[in-house]
Amino acid sequence: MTPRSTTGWKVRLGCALVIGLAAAGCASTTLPPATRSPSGLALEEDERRIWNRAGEEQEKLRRAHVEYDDPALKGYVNAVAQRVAPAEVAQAGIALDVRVIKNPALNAFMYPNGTMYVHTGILARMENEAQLATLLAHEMTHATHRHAVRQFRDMRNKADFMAGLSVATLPFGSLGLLANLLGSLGMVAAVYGYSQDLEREADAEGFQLMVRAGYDPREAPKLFRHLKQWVEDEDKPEPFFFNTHPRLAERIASYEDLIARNPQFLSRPEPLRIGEEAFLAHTRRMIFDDALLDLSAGRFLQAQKGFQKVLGLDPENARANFFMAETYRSQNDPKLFAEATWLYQRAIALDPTYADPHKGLGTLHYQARQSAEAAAEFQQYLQLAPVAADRGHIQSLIESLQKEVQK
Amino acid sequence: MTPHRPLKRAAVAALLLLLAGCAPFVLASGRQNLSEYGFEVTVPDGWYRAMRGEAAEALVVTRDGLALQQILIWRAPVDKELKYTKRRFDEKLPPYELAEITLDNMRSDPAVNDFVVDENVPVTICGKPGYKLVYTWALKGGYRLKRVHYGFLDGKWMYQLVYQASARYYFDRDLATFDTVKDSFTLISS
Amino acid sequence: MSAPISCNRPSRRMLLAWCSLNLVLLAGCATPHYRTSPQFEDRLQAGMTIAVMPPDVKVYEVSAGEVPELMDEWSETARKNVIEAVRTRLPGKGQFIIREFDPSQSEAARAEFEDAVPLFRAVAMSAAMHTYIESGAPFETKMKQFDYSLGPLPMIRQASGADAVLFIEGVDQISSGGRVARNVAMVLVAAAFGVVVIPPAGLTAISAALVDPQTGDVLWFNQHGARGKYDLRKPDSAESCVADAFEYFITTFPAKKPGGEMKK
Repeated sequence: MTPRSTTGWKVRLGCALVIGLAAAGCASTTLPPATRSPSGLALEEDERRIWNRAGEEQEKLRRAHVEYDDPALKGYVNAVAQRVAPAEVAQAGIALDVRVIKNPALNAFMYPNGTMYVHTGILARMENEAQLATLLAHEMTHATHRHAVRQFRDMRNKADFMAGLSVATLPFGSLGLLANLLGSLGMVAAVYGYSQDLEREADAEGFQLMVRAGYDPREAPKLFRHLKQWVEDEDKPEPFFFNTHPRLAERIASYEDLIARNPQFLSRPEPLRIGEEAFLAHTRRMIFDDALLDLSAGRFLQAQKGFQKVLGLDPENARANFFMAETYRSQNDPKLFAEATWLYQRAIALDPTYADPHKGLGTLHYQARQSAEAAAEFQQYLQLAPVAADRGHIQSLIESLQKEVQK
Repeated sequence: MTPHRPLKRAAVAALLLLLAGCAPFVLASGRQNLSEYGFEVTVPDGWYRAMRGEAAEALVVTRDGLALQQILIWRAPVDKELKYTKRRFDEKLPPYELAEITLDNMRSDPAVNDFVVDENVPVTICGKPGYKLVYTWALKGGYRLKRVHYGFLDGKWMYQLVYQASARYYFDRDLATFDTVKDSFTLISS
Repeated sequence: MSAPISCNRPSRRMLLAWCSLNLVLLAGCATPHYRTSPQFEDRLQAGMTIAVMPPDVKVYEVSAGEVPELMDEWSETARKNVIEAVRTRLPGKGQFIIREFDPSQSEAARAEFEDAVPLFRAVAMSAAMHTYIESGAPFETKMKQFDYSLGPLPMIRQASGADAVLFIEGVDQISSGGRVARNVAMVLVAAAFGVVVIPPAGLTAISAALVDPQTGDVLWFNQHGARGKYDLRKPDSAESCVADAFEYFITTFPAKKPGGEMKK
């Protein structure tokens, strides 16, 4: 046998094995939507296991106390979800339940069993109920169209195929290594977030849901403009879990295209629902609390936008003025101290019994080495808040500042 | 320093070091002169020092395993970026504000759940005004951790002395040991 | 938006990694693999009652592409097999009375159990890392004196009436048909080119701790497993694995016929 024919049968063996492996046990990623099951959704075996995992994850979230405590907000968000959801969702056995998580990141995620988590971060950046409806409709499509099990099967098929390919390329050195490398990267991209195709399906189907519920479709692309603006504000590449999404600009264009191709939704006789007033009434407290999370995380620009939103609704809100001052002071930049001072004084003018602005002013004086002025403000703080949690700290500061003054 | 995830950190660090052929831990009992970090401290008998990874930037010692308890002492330039918050320490800030930034760094870590502050008081360490914090949190999966966290400024350096342990059993058991370590801490003047 | 479902829990993966490493390094080692506390011999009495906490056993199917999927029914079968194997084999020479304990019978016991389990995992990982030379990170002090604890368990002690409490955690990896086929193909293709390839088999690992509920002291600890040797879904294989893991209890005390009294 010549060397060439020896290699030939080996290559044929390798190829035959690859084809056999790739064909065998490849799970289908095409499944009918749950809403097409009038007698209830019959879960596939692997799908049931995914639902069980979802239940376990939800229990962990419950124990971690991540939910934002606002029953009125929870009721409102769920009412919007019910308005958008098709009737078939309940018939299919998917119990829609939207929960708000106190987290400033712009994110929302849907479990296949109908439980949805929406971060305060993304809610705080919306302007009205129509934008909320866009998000809810998009997310619930992931459940109704069974994206979790479809994606899992796709990931598993790809990994298995790449493993089969790596077997055939085993003896071929660098090519085999490249196949392995591509296989690994492909798996990561597929696992972390839904694939681009599934997200596009959620866009298109979700869009239909929100317009059928009477919402103004022109609000839909605005949701993604907010995400894009956040990414630009934070000056970092698109967050990792958006990697598998079409680029945000393309998403905006895609929604605008959906609007253009469906002009009938803009010319309906009944007025299109935007729901700004109801949305802001229910989210005002959450916007404030989310801005506090941004302040903790040092995302000062986002915090300022949040407090500014609250002040737009309630300019005489002393707390919002105080925390706006904190966003300036906390940057440790003396050029911003004048703005902070003005806002602390405004908070005091609005509510003379409010203690915290005096602590803020005291800290500014402390940083400027103005010991007498700092001591005076801290004393005023303790007079107004005699049982403050940080009383020990402030009392200790006053004593050391008074020693400085006496020197 | 980001020792908030002791389980993962302990396992990954030791496994990598094993594969690299380096001893990941060495017995470190007695007086430790860490002039590269500007301090001296006495480590109790039977405690081991973690030698590599993030532990290389600090003194990290444990008796039973990093996942169960650890004492961490480190210093960093006062203006060094923190891992989870963009807020920064500043040498002009009072101790209560330094404490608040420390807490914000913990609160902003997405792995920290159910964060509760039990104590936040002023203290003096090596003659410098500082803060003492006591707080607890839970990792995903329910493992609760508890910390005593001291911090103070010395010139352009931010020093931190931390005792971290399982909230269940280990924290109380070794707290007195940590107190003796903290009391033995001295600065090395440069 | 992101898909939130994770199929694996980090602490289980870490425990598995350590067990895997230790098992490789300990292959062929003749010294006992279990660890005991200084109080072990005094506390372990013949005829004592041992309450078995609900074992946490997870069985994964691993695909050809090395994607693990947690299989609920297999896990439940494996869990029942492990409990039955413990009931059957653990009494051994010590005539221990084995009780399967359900913490949910008492709210206080349930809360205490949920609080103790994460610490058990952390203790197991620490013991695996620091009390075996082969782990590469041994603490000589801990090897000389094995003293770990879960903290007192008064509620569990009261509700179970037991002298000792047994915590068990286990993992089993089963290769899918596709993975087996891939491994066969790998071996054949490599052999055709004169290369010998040994594909990895699935790992079965059990971690167990016997605890004094009065003090919380871990009296006895062991981690045991192997690659390609056990299948916890099968009763006799599970019994073989449990017998190997608890060999000390079975062989050291006076011999007794299997089938200790089971009380619920």
